[in-house]
Amino acid sequence: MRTRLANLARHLFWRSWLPLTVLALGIIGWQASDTLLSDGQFVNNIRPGPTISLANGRQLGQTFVAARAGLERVDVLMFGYHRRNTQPVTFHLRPAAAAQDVFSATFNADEVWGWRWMSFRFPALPDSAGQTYYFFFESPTSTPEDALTLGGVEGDLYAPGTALINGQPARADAAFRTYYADLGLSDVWRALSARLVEGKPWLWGSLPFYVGLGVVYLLLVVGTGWYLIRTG
Amino acid sequence: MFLLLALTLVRGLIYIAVIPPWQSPDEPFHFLSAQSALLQGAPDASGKWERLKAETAASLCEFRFWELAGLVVRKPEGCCPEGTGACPTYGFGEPTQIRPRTFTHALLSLPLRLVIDQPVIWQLYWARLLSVLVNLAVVAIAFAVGRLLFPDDVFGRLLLPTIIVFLPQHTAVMAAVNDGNPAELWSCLAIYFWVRGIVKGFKWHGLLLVAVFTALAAASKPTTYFLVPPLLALLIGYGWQRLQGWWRLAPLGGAACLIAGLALASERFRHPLALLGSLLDADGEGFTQWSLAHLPTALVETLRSFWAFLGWNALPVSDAWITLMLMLSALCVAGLLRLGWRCWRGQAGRGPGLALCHTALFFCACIAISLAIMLIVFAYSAGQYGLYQGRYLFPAIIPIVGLLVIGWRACLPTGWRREGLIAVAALFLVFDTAVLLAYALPFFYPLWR
Repeated sequence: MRTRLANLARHLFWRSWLPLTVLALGIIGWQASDTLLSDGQFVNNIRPGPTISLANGRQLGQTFVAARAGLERVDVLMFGYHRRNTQPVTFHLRPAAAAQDVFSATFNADEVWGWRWMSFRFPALPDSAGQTYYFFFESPTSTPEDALTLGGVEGDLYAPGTALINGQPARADAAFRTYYADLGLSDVWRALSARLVEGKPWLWGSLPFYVGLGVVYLLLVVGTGWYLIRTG
Repeated sequence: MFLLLALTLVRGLIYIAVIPPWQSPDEPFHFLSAQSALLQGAPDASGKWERLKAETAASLCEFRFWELAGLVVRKPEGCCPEGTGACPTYGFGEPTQIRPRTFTHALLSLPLRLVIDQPVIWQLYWARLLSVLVNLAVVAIAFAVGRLLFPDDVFGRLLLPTIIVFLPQHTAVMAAVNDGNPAELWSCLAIYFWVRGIVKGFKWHGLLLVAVFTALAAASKPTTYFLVPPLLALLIGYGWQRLQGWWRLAPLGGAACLIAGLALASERFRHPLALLGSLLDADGEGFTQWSLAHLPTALVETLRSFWAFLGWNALPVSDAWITLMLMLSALCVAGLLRLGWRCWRGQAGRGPGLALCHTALFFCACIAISLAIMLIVFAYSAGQYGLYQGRYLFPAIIPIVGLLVIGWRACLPTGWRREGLIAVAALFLVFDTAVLLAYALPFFYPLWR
């Protein structure tokens, strides 16, 4: 019986390891292209304490400069302290100099338990290129035991903007991503290939070198995998 | 082995390509340190030094250094785009301070002579390329250690170098200019001769090679000091066994000479000795309490940044990855406990089994001493968590990865090692790809700004 189970497990392993690896690589590729399509600041190294949550009427937000025309979506990394939060939270987006929102949305805090990227989609803003915007969250009914907070970094990683606590600048940046209409993977490839070689010397300044390096790397990975399977 | 070496080379070239210039920890400092060795005694050294610094500052601006390293270094007022005069280069402040910090900077300066007339960015990439070659040597040594430890077992023999090849943080650091890279090479050579001695028996010439490479490593960077206490113990123990009469005391003299020689040759070696002295003088109570209070955070920071924390420690990977790595480490601990129990009961057998137990013990000692030294330095530097970086453990990369492999091997049933090898290699390939594509590319290349 034990031998049969072991044989079954071995059979399953050899059937599944390659598809699972390819699937994982595919998911990574999709995540990478999604992040490359956006602008903003995606790093999160904050271990949030209760003092910087949305409790007691505190507003948490971030200023940013729209990189292109057609701003249509803002994603923000939120944290629910791994507990069930219950209060309504409102997201506001407005031009930095204006008092009126161009978009606002209210959701219940129970949508966020641990870390979660919250997406806010709105009709594309055609004249957004180069404009400074400001988004913030507020939840007047939240308490320290029942509130969300934002992810991000303490420091200055996003030069065009800064985090705001109750409207006051803080030396921090929220983790957020902005998305624009009419951007596709071909735009990403064109922009990335230009950026990779920009200003770099020698072979590193030539795109064919990167393509060749990628092809050789793939061949070597496949070759090493094949060698490990045969030798192992 | 040649496939793994080719992979190491290509991966090094990819990391050189993806990590923008100056975006590895302290890269401008180490580059300028090597350059300073070239200016020793040169005519118009001060003028050349100022020109080099200006060119470096311009390059820092061109590659948006302060935007990407903004978590660690703050851009001064008046520095680019206004001009480069106010930009610090993180090298030496004054021309009068021109001197390399360790002899490894002077070593790096030798091949830099070949490209001395090229623009500074060319010279940087040339120096990075040399670091990749150092990594090739490290992987080759790891392969040799694997062959010594697991002569009849492909799982251990191949997994040890494979993990080092696919470890993203290690590849990133070894594709940048840093004095830790040659220090790691010396350290790996010392560890190789240690393992060789454990497996095949120590001889005087092997002992001498361990001592020489330990001394070179310790003179290169404080992160290799973990090699010194085991070496002293080995010298004294081996001498006591092999020598007769008063000659038995000779290794004590040798050990004292080694410490004195290192202290005289390396200014940085005197620092931990002084720390150790002050620790022994004090009652130690406050230090112990303070360390215990901060130890968990410090250890977590170290573990996080050991696997992947690219740039100037600005780019952590998701906690999910770190949790996965911690779970794999826990599995290794379970395997080590099992192996320890078998060794204790004498079930590990003679020959390779016993040598594996002794090597695991040696690796554990290396890691424990390395962490203890980091903790002492950390405690005396007012708790700057920035000092607690996983890359400082890289001189012990063979003991760390070796211990992981030994632990996993002890967990796995013998018939499942082939599957284990494939699964771990695939996992590290996926992890490395995630770090490169999903973290490094979007972070270093914000496309729409």
